[in-house]
Amino acid sequence: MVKRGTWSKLAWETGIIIFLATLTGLLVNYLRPGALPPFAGPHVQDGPITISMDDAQGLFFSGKAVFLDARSEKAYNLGHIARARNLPVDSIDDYFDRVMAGIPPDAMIITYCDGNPCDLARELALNLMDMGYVNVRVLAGGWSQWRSRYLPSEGQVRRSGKVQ
Amino acid sequence: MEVTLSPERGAGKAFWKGTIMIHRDAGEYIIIIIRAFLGVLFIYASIHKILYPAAFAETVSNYQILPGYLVNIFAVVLPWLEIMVGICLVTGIFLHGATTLAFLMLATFFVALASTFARGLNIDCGCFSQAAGSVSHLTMWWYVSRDGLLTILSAYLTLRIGLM
Repeated sequence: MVKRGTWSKLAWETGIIIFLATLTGLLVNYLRPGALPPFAGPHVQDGPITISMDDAQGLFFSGKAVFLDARSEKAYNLGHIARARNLPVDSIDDYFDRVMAGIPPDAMIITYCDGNPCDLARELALNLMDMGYVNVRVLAGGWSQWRSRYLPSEGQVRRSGKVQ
Repeated sequence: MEVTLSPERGAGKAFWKGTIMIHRDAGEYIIIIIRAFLGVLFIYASIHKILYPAAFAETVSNYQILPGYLVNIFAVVLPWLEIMVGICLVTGIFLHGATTLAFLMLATFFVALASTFARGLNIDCGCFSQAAGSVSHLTMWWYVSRDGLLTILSAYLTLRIGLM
C-alpha cells in the first residue's frame, strides 16, 4: 500500500530533481564554448550541398577532391575511403591543424560518415564552411555505400557487416 | 533475517539515512545493491553525454522521434538528469523522486529503442558513448534487452522505495 503523503513527496522530489537538472544543463550549455542553440536540432535547413556517389567517384578517380572522414579515429582505422583524411567532428580542434595542412580554402572537399542516419559529415561540412572553405560537399550514402560498390578503400575492412 | 550494522554509527545524520541504517534484512541489502548499481550506471552513462553534447544531439536526432526543435534541449538536459538521479540513488537523497525518475527514464529509453528497432533503424543507441553509425541487428537486440532488464530493476526499486 502506498502511504499517505507519499505521492506528494514523490511529486515534490521529482520536480526538484528535474528543475535542478534543467537549470544546470541550460547553464552549462550557455557557459560552454560552442553552446548548442536550445530550441533547434542538428539538422540545418540551408546546410551544405550533398554530392552523389557517382559524382564523388568521378572526382575521386580524377584526384580533384579531398575526402574527409568525419567519424571517430576508431571507425576510420577499421576502414575508410582510400586516401581520405580523418577529421573526427567531435574533436575537430585536436585534429584540425594536422589534417587540414596543405588544403587550400578553395579545394573541393567531400565529407562523409556512415550511412544515412548519420549527420557527422554534414556537421563537419558546416564547420568547414564557417572556417572559410568554399567548396564543401557531403557524400550521400557515405562509407557503407562506398564499400558496397567495392570502391578503393583502406584500413582493416571486415568482410561482412558495417563498420560501427 | 535481521543484521545489526555498527549501531553507534548508524543513528547518524539524516543525509545518510537511506544508506546507513541500524537494522536491515536481506531484502534491504538487495535494494541497496540495486540502488548502487543503477546509480553508478546512470552517472557513468551521463559523463560522455555531458562532455560531448553535440554528438549526443546527433544520437537523439538519429532516433527520429523528437521534433527537431526539441532535440538540442533534450540533449542538453537529459545527461544532467541522469547524473543527478545517479547521485541521488547512490547517496540516498530524494530517493522517492530518484527511483521514480530512474524508472521513467529507463522505460522511455526502452520504448524509444524498441520503436527504433521496429522501424528498422539500426542505429547506435548512444546509451553510454556516442559513436555515430549503424549497428547490426544483434546489437539492437542487445540494446533493447539490456534496457529491459534495467527497467525491471528500476521498477522493483520504485515499488520498494519510491512508493513506500
